[in-house]
Amino acid sequence: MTALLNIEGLSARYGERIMLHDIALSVKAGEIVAVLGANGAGKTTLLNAIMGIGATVTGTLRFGSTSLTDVSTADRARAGLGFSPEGRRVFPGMTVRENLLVASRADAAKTSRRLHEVHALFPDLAGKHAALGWQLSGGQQQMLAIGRAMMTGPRLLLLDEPSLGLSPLLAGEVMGKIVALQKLGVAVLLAEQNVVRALAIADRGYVLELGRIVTEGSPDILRADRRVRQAFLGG
Amino acid sequence: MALQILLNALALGAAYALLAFGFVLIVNATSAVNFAQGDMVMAGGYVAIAVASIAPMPGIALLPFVLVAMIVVGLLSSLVAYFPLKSRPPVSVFVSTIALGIILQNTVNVLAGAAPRAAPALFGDGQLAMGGASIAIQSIAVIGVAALLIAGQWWLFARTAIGRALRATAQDRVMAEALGIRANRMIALTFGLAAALSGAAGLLLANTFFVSPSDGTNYIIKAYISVTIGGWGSLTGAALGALLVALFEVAYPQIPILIGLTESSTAVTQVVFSQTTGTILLYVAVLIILFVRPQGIFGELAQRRA
Repeated sequence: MTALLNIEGLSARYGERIMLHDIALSVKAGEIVAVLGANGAGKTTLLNAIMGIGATVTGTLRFGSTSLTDVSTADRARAGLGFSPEGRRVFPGMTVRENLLVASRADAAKTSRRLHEVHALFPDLAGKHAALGWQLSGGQQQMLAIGRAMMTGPRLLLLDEPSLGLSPLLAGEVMGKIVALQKLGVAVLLAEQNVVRALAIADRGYVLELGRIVTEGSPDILRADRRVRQAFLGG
Repeated sequence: MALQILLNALALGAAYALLAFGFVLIVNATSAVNFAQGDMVMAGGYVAIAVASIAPMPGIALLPFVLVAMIVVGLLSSLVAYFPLKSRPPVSVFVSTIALGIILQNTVNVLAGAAPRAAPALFGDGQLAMGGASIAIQSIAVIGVAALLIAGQWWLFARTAIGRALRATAQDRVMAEALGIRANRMIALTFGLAAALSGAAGLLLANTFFVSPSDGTNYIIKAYISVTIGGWGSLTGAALGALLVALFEVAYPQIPILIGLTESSTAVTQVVFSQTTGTILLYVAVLIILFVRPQGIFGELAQRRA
């Protein structure tokens, strides 16, 4: 199957500091692909680079048949890249409903359908539609950030640390929602520190260390990898 | 008499509120202070005078001309004074907007002269008898028009897709872009809307208080004081601050009349309740607010919004 997202030779730097080295990565339509690594490995820089945020990037990024070189962040989103960033970044002074509606560029009928889908996936949000972003709990903000990215009508969702700061119960719930998103036909690139949870739902994975991909493969291959076992799975 | 004083203060406060809203919109959208915002008030007054000189009409009919012209001026000001410098340290935008304001002042000076001019009244110069008092129609009209503009601005920001995009851009520009919002267009539009509101304030003020090319400096200080009192980033705070500034300017010197001291007014009373003393007390109040509540009266809400 042709890759939906195809990255080759990607490097990213902030000033003189190189954050990512020669990254090659792909995501096929409908896949969940995990990007694993410790804090500071470069996961957030990678997802931001795909969205055109932050670092200076060189290399090839293709989304479908479109090269993302010189494409603005807004146009990447309009092309079908949905983004739920680290820290959620919900709009604090806007209601849940406004946070969702502001992300849709579609006509009224399509927007209403997407809103219905998001509410079906995250029923908590439906009951909180008039609450302001800052009034939500961490888990609710995470649901809102993912739901908001869904409202853009993405073909590929970039999820940065969706379980960070959540209780184990809530983190498990969020992972379940990611599988539900896959069933809706959306591919997911999932950056996660929680390797056990990420590999439980991913089709494939990449492991980042100090800005380089050190290994990749299916969840079974990664679980068996010595470096992954030592670094993330307790031996 | 008390009613007339209250309405005059409300009218001035409403016009200042439009200016302060424009100031806050740009602060929220860009984190930059637009020091040309006071000059937009002056420019709005002169647009009204210029159009009225070609086709005489009441002020209310001039309002659409002022709004459209000032949206264009605001868009152009963003292209000249903000976008080329937005990646530079904030002081660059600070200085560029001061430069833009001075250019506007001197351009108007060259085109219209330095002498104060008056714009037409909104509906007429007459008085209205209310409860035994004589109320200037212009005061009531200014309050009404400002209220309509504030309501229109609220509707735009709260009820429309473009308003949501403007607010999202103001709250988190990078995130707004990651959702497909073209943030630069939203920021340019914010400059346009801010200039339109300030320009409308210029039309409302230029009848009673006249307008001259150098008025912008005075107005930007009023806006700055209003948002400092109300809380940076808060529109409600800006409106409240604007009203307080107007009360000090208009109502404070009238206190002897309001409490019946006119007949027995002494030299001391005249000094204590003079406009100069009112100005001193206003700035003392600003200092107290800065010391006691540096975030302003509504600053906490603004922090959450930011």
